[in-house]
Amino acid sequence: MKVLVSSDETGHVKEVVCLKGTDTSKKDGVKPISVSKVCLEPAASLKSRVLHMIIFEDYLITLRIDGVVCIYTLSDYTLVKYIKLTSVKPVSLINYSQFGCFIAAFENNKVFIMTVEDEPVELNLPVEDKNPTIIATFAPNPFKDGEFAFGGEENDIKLVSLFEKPNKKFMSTKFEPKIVFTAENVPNDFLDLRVPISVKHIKFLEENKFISVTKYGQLRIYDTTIKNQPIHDFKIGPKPIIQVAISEDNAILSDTTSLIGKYSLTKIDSNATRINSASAGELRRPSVKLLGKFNEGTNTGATHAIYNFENKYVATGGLDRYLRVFDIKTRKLVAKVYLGTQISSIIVVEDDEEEEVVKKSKKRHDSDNDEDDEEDMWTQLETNTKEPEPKKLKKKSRKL
Amino acid sequence: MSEDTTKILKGIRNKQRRQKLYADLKHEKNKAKHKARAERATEERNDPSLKEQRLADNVPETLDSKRVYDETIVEDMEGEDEFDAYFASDKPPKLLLTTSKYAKKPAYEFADLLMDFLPDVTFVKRKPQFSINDMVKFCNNREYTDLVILNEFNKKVTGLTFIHLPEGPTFYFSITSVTEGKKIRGHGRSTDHTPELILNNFNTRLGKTVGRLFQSLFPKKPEFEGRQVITLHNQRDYIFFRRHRYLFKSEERVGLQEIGPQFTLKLRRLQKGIRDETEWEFRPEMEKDKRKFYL
Repeated sequence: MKVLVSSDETGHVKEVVCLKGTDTSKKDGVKPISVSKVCLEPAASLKSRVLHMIIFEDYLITLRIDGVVCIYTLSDYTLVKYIKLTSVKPVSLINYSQFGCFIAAFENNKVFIMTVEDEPVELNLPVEDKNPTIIATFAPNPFKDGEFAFGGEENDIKLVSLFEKPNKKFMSTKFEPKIVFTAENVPNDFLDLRVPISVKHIKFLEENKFISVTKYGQLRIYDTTIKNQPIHDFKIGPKPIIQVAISEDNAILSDTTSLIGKYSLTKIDSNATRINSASAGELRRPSVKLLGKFNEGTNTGATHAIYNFENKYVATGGLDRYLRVFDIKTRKLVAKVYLGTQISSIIVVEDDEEEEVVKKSKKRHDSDNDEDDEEDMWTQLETNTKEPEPKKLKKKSRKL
Repeated sequence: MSEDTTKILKGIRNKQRRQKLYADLKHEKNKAKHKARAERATEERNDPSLKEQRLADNVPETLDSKRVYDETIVEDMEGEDEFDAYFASDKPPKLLLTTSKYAKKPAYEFADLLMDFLPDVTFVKRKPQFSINDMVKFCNNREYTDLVILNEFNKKVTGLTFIHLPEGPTFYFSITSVTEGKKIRGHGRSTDHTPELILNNFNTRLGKTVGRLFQSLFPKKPEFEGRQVITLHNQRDYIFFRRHRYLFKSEERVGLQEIGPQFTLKLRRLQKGIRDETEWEFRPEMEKDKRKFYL
C-alpha cells in the first residue's frame, strides 16, 4: 500500500509504503517498508504546510496554507511548477479531470481554474450580501458539469454554475459564475431561536442531492428538487464535525475530539438524540444510525484527513501523528504507522494487492506443505502400526 | 513460615498460647533477618564490589520498568511547533495569571503561591464578562507569552490551564496534593532569582510538547547565584512540582533545602489553538493498562 501524507510541522509530504498488518506501536510488529520525505521545498515550514493534495494525471498537486500551488511529478516528486495564487487560506483543491483541469478555491470567494501548462483563470464567486463573507468549503457536483457548491460561517449553501457550454479548449471557455440554488436555513428550534449557520463540508450523493456537515455537529441532507431547506436535519453530537467522506450509502465523519464514526445515510434511528428542556419537556429527535466507530488503534486526537480508497479502505490521519488504514466494511485496523508529524491531507495511491496475493500463495504453499507432512505422518503410522484405520473411516463416511 | 510450623500452630487450640508462640517465632525470624543484614553490611563495607554485585542482581520490577513499548520515545521531534517562535526570539516570558469565574479564597491563596516562582507574572482578578478568547485577545495586545488560568471548585483548587500565546496550544492539568512551603519541615525562603529548571522524564512526543511548555514559562538564562532549582518530575504521567535551594556544605558535599510549594499535576487535555481541536485527552479507560504511559 502506497500512501501520501502531508506533514504539518515540516511542510513536506511523506510517502509511506507499507503492507497490510503493519503496526509500528508493537515492538515486534510489522514495520513499514519505507517512510520517505518528498516534496522537499527548502522554505517549507509550519507556516507553509500542505493543506490539500490531489493526484492529477501524472502529477501530484499540493495546495499550501499560504496560497501556493506546487506541481510535482508523481514518479520522482520533482517540482514542475510553483505558483503563488493569493495569501489567503485555501479551502479546497478539486481534481476536475473530465475537463483536463484542477480547481483551487480560497476563503475569500476566489476560485482558480488551472492546468499544468496554462496560466490560471481567476474567478470571483457571486456574493449577494454587501458584507464580505468567507467560505469554508467548495465542492464539485460530479453528476453535473460545471456545478459546484459552497458555503461557510453565516454563509448558507449556494450552488453555482461556473460555465454553460465548455469550449473545445476548456481554458478558453467563457466562465460566468451564476448562482442556481440558494439554501434556506432550517426553521427556528423548539425555543423559537434562530439556528446559526456554519457549513464545514458538502458532498454530493446524486445530481440533485447532497449532504452538508456543520460546526454545530449537524448533518443535513438537501434535495434541490424538493425544497430549499434541508429535507433532513440531524444532530450527530455536540462537537464540530471537521471532515466527512462518503462510502456507498454511508458517511464517515470525524469531529474535533477522537471520534471517527460510520453513519448510515439511509437508516434512521428515531430515538437517537434526547433534548431535555425545562419548558418543552423531554424531546426525542431522530438521527442517522451510527453503524460503528473506527476506534481500533486508540486514536487520541482530532482527525483532519479521511480518504476513501475505492470504498474498500479508509485512511485517516490527524493531530495524533499516526496514519491509520481501516477496512470500511469490518472497521478493522489494516495498518497503523507513526509518522511523527500532524496530518492534514492523505492520498492512498495504490493498494498492495500483489503483495497480498504473494502472501496468500505463500500461505497456500504452506498449507500444501502441511498436507504433505500429514500424509507422511499417516503413511508412517500405517507402516508402524499396520492398522489402516483412516481408510476404514473413509469407507464408513462413504456409506453414510 | 514453613508448612510444619503452620501445622503445629493450627494444632494448638488455646488462642492465647497460639498467638504467643506465633509472636515469638516472628520475633526470632525478625532478629535473624536483622543480624544477617548487619553481617552483610560489614562484609560489604570491607568489599564494596559485593554490594554492587547484589544491587545488580536484584533489580526490582516496577511499573516504570515494565512500561509498554512506545515508538514515539525513540524518535526525535520533527519540524517546528508553536513554541519555536518563542525560543527563537530573545523576549523573556511574560505571564498573566487569573482564576476561574467567581473564584473563592483558596484560589487566591494558590495564586499567591504561584506568583512566588513564576517570572514576570501579573495577577488580574477575573471578571465574569470576559471569556477566555477575550482574555487571549487582550493578552496578545499586551505581548504576553502565556496565559495561566486557575480553576477552583467547591473551595478547592482543581486545575490549571496554560495557554501559550499568541496561537496556543492549550494545556489543562488537574492539581492535587498541594502543600505550601510553610508546612514543609526545614523549609527555606525563596529569593527573586530566576530559578534553574529540571525537567525529568518527558520522553514521548506528547511529553516533549509538555516539557517545552514548562521550558517556555521560565527565562532561558537562570541566575545561578540564587541556587534555586525548580524540578518538574514526571513519573507515570503524574508531574511532581518541587522547588529547592542547593547549599555547598564543603567542597565535596552538597545539601538541599526545600523551598516549596509542592503540588502534583496531571495532564487532562491538550488542544490545538485556543481551546480548539483536541490533540490528546485523558480518558479513564487509558488507565486500564497500568503499564501504558503517555508522557
